[in-house]
Amino acid sequence: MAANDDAEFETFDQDNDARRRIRSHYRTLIQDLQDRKDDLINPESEELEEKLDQINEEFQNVKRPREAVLDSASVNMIANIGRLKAQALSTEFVRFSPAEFASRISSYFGCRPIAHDEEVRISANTWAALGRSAAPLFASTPPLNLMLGSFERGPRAVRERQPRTQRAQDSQNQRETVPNQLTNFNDGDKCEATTEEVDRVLKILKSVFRKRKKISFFEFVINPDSFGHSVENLFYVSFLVRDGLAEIFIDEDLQIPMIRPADSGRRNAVSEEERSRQRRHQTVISLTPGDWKKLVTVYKVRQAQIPPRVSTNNGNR
Amino acid sequence: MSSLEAGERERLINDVVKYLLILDQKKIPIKKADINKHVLKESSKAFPHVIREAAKRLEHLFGISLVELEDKHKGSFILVNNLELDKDSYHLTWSEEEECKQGLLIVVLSIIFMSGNVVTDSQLWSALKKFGVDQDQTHEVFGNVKKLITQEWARQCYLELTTLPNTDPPIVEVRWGQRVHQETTKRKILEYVSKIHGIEDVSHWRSQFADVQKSERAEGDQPTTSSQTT
Repeated sequence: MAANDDAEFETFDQDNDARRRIRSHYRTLIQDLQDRKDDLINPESEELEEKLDQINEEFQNVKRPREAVLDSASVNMIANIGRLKAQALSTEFVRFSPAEFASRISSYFGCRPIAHDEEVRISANTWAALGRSAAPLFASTPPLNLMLGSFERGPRAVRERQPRTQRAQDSQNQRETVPNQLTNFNDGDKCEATTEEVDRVLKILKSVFRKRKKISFFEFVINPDSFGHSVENLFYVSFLVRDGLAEIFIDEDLQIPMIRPADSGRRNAVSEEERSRQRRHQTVISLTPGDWKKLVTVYKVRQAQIPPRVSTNNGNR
Repeated sequence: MSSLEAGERERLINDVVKYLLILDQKKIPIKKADINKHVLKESSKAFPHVIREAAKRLEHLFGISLVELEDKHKGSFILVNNLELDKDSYHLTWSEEEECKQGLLIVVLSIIFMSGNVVTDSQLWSALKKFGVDQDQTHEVFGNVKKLITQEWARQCYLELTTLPNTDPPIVEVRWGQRVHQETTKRKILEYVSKIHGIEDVSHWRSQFADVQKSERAEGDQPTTSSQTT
């Protein structure tokens, strides 16, 4: 800086734009020093000296402290890098240059030889060729890949398949059987109800027989108060006869049909042949309401011997 | 082991052999704890015997060495090919993806070794830029290179990454992983790098060559670590 006060005053008044430009130059230089430190350290490169020349040139324009600070920072950096460069020189370290390695690889495996400074672009093929040539250096084991997958994965896949097919089959069956099952239930209900009733009638027949010894068939089944119940009673009695639990016969003296429970004693006495012959008799009894009324009058049926069920579906009163 | 029947013992040893071979697919070291949990289960006490027998079988049947790692990875195992490998009679074929990765790996390992066995991650990335590989960009061949180098290869023990304490921004040092030391030698890498440079005499690389000689002398004094188990 000039000692002359006038001269100082003159140059002190610097354009803001100019100053900004100077600061920008310095910052670019500093950034470059940071980014390319490894290249600058290379003892074979003269770039560091070039950078120093650039900074010296820039400094000619520096007038104010702010820019001067940037200047000292750059010089500081160059000094540090210079030290590292000197270190690199002094050791026996033959510096390995990644850049050179890259260009050597490109020319060795690639299509054409690359000039030293040229941008290196390593293609996929080159990488693969490089890898192939380097593979024998490594004692690595080839990975074991089983065709059907490792044992860990095997069982799981099978298990998944089985439930699926079973489920498909099951749902099919279910769809088919559901209607059947429903109807079965209904039949069952009917069957059970009928069986219950038949048992009830049998019990009544037995108890009446114990008392009376002779039971007129129509007197037994007719319910003077209800035609419907009379028909039902006939229905249940027919089961008893079919199953051989009751017998209908014509009384010799009265010449009217009688009914009696088939007791075990007599049953055994009758031969199998007779029994089967007996079963082969089939009778159809038709009963109209008119017939029913006549029967009530003729037999003078006052009271139903088979009391009706407590819960009845059809009230025929 | 005496509490186990012979048949049971056989089954366990074979299961461990299978387990090791299959887990080796990922190249991640296999932990003793996992072997006990997934294979031996209640018979974990038999581990020393079982692993010894399994190692023998791998050697005898497949020519594979079972190696236990040290230090940070103590208690895990890797498989190393023990067959005589020679570039003229090299019999293995790899997929193109594997070949490319192998190419990048040799570059990375070379950079590390030739720079004195350790580089910082920033030095490494700066060097890789020369190969068209950038940590911030998706590479057309390798994809997420940063992940490949700092995660995948670190887990597989091809590289060892150490973050230096008390540094800001954090400095990460990158060295060869234990797997590399088992699978190859410094001499082989030096010879390879030399070949690519068109240099016949490896002693041209003075310090690196001295490093090789020093390592070989040290190895000569120690017994080999392959198939050694606790």
